[in-house]
Amino acid sequence: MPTSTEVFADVAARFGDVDPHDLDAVRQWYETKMPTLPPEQIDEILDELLQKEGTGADSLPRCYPPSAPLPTLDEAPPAPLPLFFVAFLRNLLALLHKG
Amino acid sequence: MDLRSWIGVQFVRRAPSKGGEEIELRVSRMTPSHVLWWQSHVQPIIDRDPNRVDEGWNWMLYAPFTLLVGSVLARRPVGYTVGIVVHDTGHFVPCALTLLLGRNPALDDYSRRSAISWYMTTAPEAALLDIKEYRLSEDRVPKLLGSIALDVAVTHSLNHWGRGRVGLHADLKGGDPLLHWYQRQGMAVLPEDRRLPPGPRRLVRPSDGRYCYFTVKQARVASHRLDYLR
Repeated sequence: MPTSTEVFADVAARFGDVDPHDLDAVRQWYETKMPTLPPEQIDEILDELLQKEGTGADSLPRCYPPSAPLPTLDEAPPAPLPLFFVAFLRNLLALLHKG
Repeated sequence: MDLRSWIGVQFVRRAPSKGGEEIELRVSRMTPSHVLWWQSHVQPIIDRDPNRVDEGWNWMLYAPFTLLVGSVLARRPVGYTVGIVVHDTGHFVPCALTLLLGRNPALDDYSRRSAISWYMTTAPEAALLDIKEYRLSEDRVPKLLGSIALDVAVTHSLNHWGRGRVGLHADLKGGDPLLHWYQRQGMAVLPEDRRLPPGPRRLVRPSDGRYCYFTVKQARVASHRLDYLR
């Protein structure tokens, strides 16, 4: 189940001192400020968002950026697969662990 | 022994279409341009339907966890975009998004690692037929997008230590039809009286009969089902 926008806003208000009713400010905080925090604190924020999954409502105003261009193929390289030897080693370790 | 899990599993690369022709797809790591296009073009059309589970979602809020900091976080969030490949114009048309947490305790065995699907969505047909840079005809609209989005989660788990294990919570708004859809995909449902893995969620949101999961065996079966599209 996803986490509601209201919960995202409340968490931004707690961790970033952002007005939870200003969705633009909330979005900007997640885009620009939150990634600059230490990983431990971002983990804490993520945990908080996950714990509150299914609570709150999507009652905040909808937020649509102005019309964006269709992505190009250059902006969408195929997702990488693990290297063969990494996949092999991973399975070998799993087998040994099982045994 | 499943040889594929030793060498890595390919993501889906094609989808059937209404007209019978196969459509070329690509699974890419989610980027800001995908999210921006989705939120400006697809989400407004989704939001016109109050019955959709993904009504009101804001990908601009969710994506920063995976785009900017995912690999350094304990839960390893990662986002994928499934899109139509248009060679003529060089465009990539996002038609499904999925945001996963790659490292969580599995619902069927707390000592094992599983991917968790946090957000998963597919584009409504109306959004794909109304793109000014690319005219998609109705008979070329890809089918099975929901199954393909779920398969992305399984493939990620197969390729990243989860052995295919995936867990998710079927949104209450989706009611029985959504829960049954996940079951038809081959997922098991965690009984209401079974406890969730240790953690605050066990108290905040205990098992309610809507947590679904793939075991290793079920994931393998589900993955093989889409092999003809890889």
